[in-house]
Amino acid sequence: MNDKRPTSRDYWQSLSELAETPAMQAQIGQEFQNYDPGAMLNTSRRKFLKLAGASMALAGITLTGCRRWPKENVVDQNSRPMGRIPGVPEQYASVFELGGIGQPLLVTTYDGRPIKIEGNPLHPLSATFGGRLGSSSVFAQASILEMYDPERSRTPIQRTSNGVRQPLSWKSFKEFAGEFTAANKGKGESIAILTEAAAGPTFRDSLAAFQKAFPGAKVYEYEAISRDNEREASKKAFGQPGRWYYDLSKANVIVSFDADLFGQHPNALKHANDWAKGRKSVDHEEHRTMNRLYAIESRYTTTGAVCDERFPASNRVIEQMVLQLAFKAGLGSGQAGLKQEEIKYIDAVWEDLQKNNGKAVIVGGQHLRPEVLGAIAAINDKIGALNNTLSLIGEADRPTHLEAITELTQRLTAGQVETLIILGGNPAYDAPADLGFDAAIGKAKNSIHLSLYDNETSNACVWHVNRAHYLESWGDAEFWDGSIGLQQPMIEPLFGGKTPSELLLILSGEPEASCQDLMHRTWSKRLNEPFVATAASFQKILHDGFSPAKPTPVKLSNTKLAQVSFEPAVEGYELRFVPDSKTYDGRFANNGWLQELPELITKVTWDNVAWISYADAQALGVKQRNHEEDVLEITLEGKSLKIPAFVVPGQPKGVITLPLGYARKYAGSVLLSDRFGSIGGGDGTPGSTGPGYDTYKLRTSKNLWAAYGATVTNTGETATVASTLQHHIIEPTGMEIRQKRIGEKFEPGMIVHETTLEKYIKDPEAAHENSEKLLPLQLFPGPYQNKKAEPGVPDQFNIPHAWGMAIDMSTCVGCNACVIACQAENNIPIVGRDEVIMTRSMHWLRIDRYYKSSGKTYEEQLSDPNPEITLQPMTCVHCENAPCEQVCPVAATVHDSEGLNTMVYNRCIGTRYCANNCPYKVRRFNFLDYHSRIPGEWRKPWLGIPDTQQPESVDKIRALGFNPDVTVRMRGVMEKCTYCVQRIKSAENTRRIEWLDGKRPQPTVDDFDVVTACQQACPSEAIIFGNLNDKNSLVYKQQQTERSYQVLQELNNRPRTHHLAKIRNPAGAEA
Amino acid sequence: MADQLTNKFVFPKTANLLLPLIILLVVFGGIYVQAVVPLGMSPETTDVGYQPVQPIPYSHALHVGQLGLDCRYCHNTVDQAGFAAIPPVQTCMNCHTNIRKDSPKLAPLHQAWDSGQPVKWVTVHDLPDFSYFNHSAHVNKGVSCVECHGRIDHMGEEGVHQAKNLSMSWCLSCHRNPENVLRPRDQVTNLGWKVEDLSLSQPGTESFQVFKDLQAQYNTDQITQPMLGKYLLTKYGIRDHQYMTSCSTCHR
Repeated sequence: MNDKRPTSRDYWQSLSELAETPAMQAQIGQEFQNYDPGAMLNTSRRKFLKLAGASMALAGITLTGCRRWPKENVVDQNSRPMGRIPGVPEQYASVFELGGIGQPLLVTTYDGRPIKIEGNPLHPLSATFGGRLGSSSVFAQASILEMYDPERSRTPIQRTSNGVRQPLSWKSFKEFAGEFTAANKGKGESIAILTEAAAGPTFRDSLAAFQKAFPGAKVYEYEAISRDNEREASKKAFGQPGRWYYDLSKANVIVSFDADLFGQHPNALKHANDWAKGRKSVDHEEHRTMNRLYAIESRYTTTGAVCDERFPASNRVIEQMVLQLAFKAGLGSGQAGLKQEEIKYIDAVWEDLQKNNGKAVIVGGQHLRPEVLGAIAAINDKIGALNNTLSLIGEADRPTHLEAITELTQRLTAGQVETLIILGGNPAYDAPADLGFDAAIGKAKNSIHLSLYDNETSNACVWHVNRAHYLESWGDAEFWDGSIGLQQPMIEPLFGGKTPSELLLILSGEPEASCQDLMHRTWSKRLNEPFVATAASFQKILHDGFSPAKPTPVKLSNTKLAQVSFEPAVEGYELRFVPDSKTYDGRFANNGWLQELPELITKVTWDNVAWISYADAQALGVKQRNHEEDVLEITLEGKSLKIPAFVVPGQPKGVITLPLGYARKYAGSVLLSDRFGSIGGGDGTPGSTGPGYDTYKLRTSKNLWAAYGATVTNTGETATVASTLQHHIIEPTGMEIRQKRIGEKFEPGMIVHETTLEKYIKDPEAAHENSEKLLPLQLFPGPYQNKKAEPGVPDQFNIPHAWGMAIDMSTCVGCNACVIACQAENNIPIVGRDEVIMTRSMHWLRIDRYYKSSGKTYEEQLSDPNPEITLQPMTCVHCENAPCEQVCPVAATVHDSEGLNTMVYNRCIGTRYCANNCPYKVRRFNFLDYHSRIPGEWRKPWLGIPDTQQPESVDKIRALGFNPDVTVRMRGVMEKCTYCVQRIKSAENTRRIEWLDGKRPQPTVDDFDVVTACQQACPSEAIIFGNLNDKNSLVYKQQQTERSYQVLQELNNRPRTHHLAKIRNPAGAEA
Repeated sequence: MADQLTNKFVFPKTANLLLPLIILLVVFGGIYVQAVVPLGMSPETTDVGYQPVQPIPYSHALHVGQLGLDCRYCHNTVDQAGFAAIPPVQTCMNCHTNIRKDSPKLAPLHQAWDSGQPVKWVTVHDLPDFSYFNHSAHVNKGVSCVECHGRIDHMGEEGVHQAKNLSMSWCLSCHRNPENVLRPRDQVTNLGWKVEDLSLSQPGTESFQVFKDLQAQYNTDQITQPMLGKYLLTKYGIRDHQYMTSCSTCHR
C-alpha cells in the first residue's frame, strides 16, 4: 500500500478500495470476480472435445421440445368457499411477535398458501404514505421462509432413560400429559414455566388458567435481547414500569445515545417513518426545513449512518456524556475525565436542544444502565419532551429477565423444580454464560420444551414438543403503542405443531383445546360478547388485524435524577454485545434469507465478526483482506473466544462490537447442510457448530451488554468471512478518458450526490455540482435525446404508462427491508456462503454503503475516526438507452412499450455479456440451480442422462412458498430487477377490465395501484414507484424536485429510476 | 521393412467404396434430419390432439352442445382471474344429486363428494411455466373461448383434446392482428358464432348495439370481420402492436 500518496477518492466502500490495491483495481473491471476461465483451459483438449461432444448428444436426446412435459393434475376444492376465486391472491391481517412486541402484518395468500408478508396499512405503527401502504421489518418478512423451512421439527421427541432421543406421535405426548395432569392436579409448587416474552391476552389467560389448575406453579420470562433497563429506569424515574414511546414526527432535534432507532428498536418502522417526514420537508418550495439527528454511538448503526452529527464513543464515555448533558441541563454535577472534544460536542447538543425546547427528544439505547436511562428521562423533562415527544406505555410489573433466569437456575440447581416447561426461546443457548442454565435443566425430572426447531434447549430437555408457526395459529400480541393485534392462521400447521397456549391446556387436562377456542374465550371476555366469533366488533378486529383501543399514556412528571456511579476505569478493551442484524438473538439461524442478507455496515453474510477500529487494527497488526480475516483471541474473566476481526471505519477506538446469535449447535442441519456446508447448526457431531462464533460465551449476568477490561491478541490465524463489501462496485466508466476530456475541473462524486441544507437553500443544484459539468460532455451524444417518436417505434417507452422510480437517499435508513421484500416477491434464491465469497449473491436490490472521510492523504483518510456514510439503494435503473440490451446476442433483454427493461428468461443463453456491460452492476447470473436442494447436481431420471428440468429437486415444502406469478429461474440464465412486472400486469389488467365494465373513467392505472415490493416494505417512504405519464403521480413529482438526478447520467443511459440527492443538516447551519 | 510398417496402416481398396456412401449419407442424412427433426419437434406433432383420459368421461358435447350450458356456469371465474378454474364438485352436484345419480360413470364424482377428496382432472391445455396467460384479459375483451380451445361443444365422452398447438408463433399471430378474432363480448362463450350472425342479434344486447353502430358507419348489413375487428379494437381499448408483442406482456 502506498502510504503517503495523495488520493482524490471522495467516496469509498471498503478499505482496499480506498487504498486502491492492485487486486481491487483488477476486480473493479469484472462483473464476477472469482470466475476463472483459466480453470476451463486446464481441461485437456481431448477432454474438452469429449465433453462438448457428449453435451451435443445429450442435447439431442433431452431436448425439451421432443417431449411433452409431465402430466399435471388440476384439482379444485370439493366446494369452493363463497367469494374465493382460484388464482387470485387474498390478504389477511395478522401479527408477528418478536421479543414480546407485535408487528402489524398483512399476509398475502395464494390459493391457501401464504406467499408474502407486508405491513398492515391500517395500523398507525406500520402505515406509510398516509395509510396507503404498510411497512414491515426484515424479520417479519423473512418469517415466511421459516414457516416453509423443511427442517422445522415435525413431531414431539422424547429422550428415553438410556439417553436415546426418539420421535413420537402427539398421541404419546398427550398420554404423558394425561399422567402429568393426574399426578399434579391441585399442587404446582414444583412446576416452573419459562416462557419467551409474549404479551398477548390469550396467552396470558392460558398462563393464568394453568396456574389456577396447578396453584403454586411459577412463571418466569426470559429474553436474551431484553429491554429491561428501560422499564427499570421508568420505574425509578416515573414510578411506573413501561415502554418509552418516542414521537419523532414532533421533534426537530433528536439526540440518540447509542440507540439503534431505525434498526433493532421494536418500533423502528414508526421511528423511520416519522423521522423521514422531517427530512422530506426539505422539498417544500418555500420553507426548506429539516430535523436534525445527533447520534453518539459505540458502533456504526443505521441511526449513525443517517444522522447529521455523529460522535463515536465507547459505552463508558457515552454514559459520561449523558451525565455531562444532564449537568448542562442543571442536573447533577459535571463529569471529570471527559475529553475536550466530548464536552464541546455535548455543549453544541445542549445549545441546539435549548433552541428547540418542546420540539426535541433524547433517546437512550436499551443497553444503557437504568440509572443512565433515568438521567436521560430527567433531561427529557427539562427540554419539554415528556408527554410530548416522549410518553410512557404502561406495563405490568415483573422481575427483570435476568432476575427471572437467575432465580430459576438457582431453584433448578437446588432441586426445587420437578417439572420445567419451557415455552419457545432457547435459554440453553442464550442464557448468561455464568449461570449454567444448560446444565441446570437436567436437574428437573420432567422438562418439556416447545419450539419450532429441535434446538439446544430441546436437546437438554426430556421432551421436545413441536410448535406451530405463528402463520399457522390463532393468537394475539401487543404492539409497541399498547394496542392489541390478532393473529390468524393462513394455513393448517404443516407439521401439526401446537401453540404455547395449547400446550398449557393440554398439560392442564384439556387435550383437545384449540387455540381458536382459547382466543374466543379471551376475546369474549374482553369485548363482553357471549358469541364473539360472529360478533360484528370482533369481525372488525379480525379484519383490521388489531383492536384500536390503546391504554392512555401515563402522565409523566417530576423525574428525579438518580445517582450514577462509575466503577474505576480498567485497562483493556471494551466489549459491546449487540443483537445481530441477521439472526437477532440466534433464533433465525436457519433462515437463509436473513443469513445471506448483508449487514449494512460490514456487509458480512452468514457470519458474525468482531468489529474493531482502524487504530486498534493497526495496534494489533490486523489487516483487512477480501474474504480472509485475521482471527483475534478475546479474553474476558478467564474465558476466551476466537473470532475474526473486521475493521470498521468509524468504530470508536478501544471498543470491540460482538454481534450475538451465531455458532448454533442444533438449528436444523440435515437437509440444508448438504447444500451450504452447514447452515444453521452443526453437523451433529459433538462440539460442531454452524457458521459464526459463539459470542454468548463471554456474555455473563454481570455484563449483559458491555464488558470492560478484555484482553485481545492477534492469533495470526485467518478465517474466511463472506462479505459482499467489495462486490459489484460501481466505477465511473472510462474514467481516464473523461479525465482528459474534462481536464482540471474533473472531480469525483458522480455516483453519490449530496450536499448540506445550508448550501441547498442557497443553490438547489448544489448537490449536482460535479456531474452537471459532465452532461454536455457525454460520451455518446444521444441519438435518443431529441428524437421525435416515429410511428410504430416506441422510443419514448410510454404507451400507455411510463414506469419510473425515485429513490430518496436522504430518507433511506438502510434497514434492508426492501432487499428481503424483493427476495420474497421475486423468488430470488439464496446461494450459500461459498458462493457469496465467489461474488455470486443473487439479490436484485442492494444497498450500497459509501464512506466519505476527511483528509488529504490516503493515511489521513483511513484513520479518520468518524467518516460519514451515504446509503444508496441500487437496483436495475431501467435505462431507456440500455447498455445491456445492446450487447445481448439473442435479444433476451429488450424494452417493452412502457419502459421496462425486460429480461426474457426463456431466451437467455447465459453469455453474461449484459452483466459485463451494465455500468450499475445490477445483473445476477444463475451459475447453479440455486433453488434445488443440491445446486451442483442434476437429477438423472433416465439412462443416467441429466434432466435439466428438475422440478422434483426443489424441496416440496419450500416450493409451496414460491410466488406463482414469477418464474422460478433455473441454471444458466441472467436475472435482475423487473420493477415487479407481475404486479404491474395484474393491476393493469384489473383496471382495464373495470374500465370496460364502466366502473372507471380511464383504462390506465392510478397512482399506488402498482407498488413494487421494495416500496411497500420501505418504512421511510424512500422508494417511490409509479407512472411518469401521470403528472399528478408522486413519482413524477419526486423526479421533478431539484434533488433528483440520474446515476451515471453522463453515459446517456437515461435511467428511469432517479435517485434523490442526500441532504445533510449538520449543526451550525441555520435551518 | 518400412513399407510393411506403413502398409499396415493403408486402408484396403474396398474402402474406396465408402467415400460415395459417406457423401450420400451426409447429403441425404442432412436433408432427412432437417426435414424430420423440426417436424417431430413441432408442437403440431407433439401437442395437437393431446387427449388424456379423464377420471370421469364428462361430455362437453352433451352439456354444452346439446343442453346449452354456458361455459361460465362451471368455469365461473374465467372472467375474473388469470386461471380459469375447473368447477368444484359442488357445481356438478347441483344437478347430479338428482339427475342420473346412479350412473356408473358418475361414481368417481359421488365418491369425491362423499369422501371429501376432490376429483383429480388432468390438465389438457398446459402452457410452459414461463408463459403467463390470463383468461380474464382475453375473455373480457372479446376473444372467444373457441379461439384457443376449439369446438369444445363437439368434444364428447372421449374427453377434451388440444385443438390448437399453443406455440408462441400461434399466440403472436393474434397478438399482432387481434382484429381478426375479436367479437362482441356477449358472444364470447357462443362457440359456433360467426360474424354473419351479427345481423341476427337480439335487440338490447351488446351485439345488437355493435351491429347498429357498424350498420350506420358502413351503411350495409353485410358486416365483415375486418369491419367488426377495427370497431372493437377501439371499443375494447385493445392495446397497440408494441404493447401486445412486448415480452413482458406474457413473460415475467
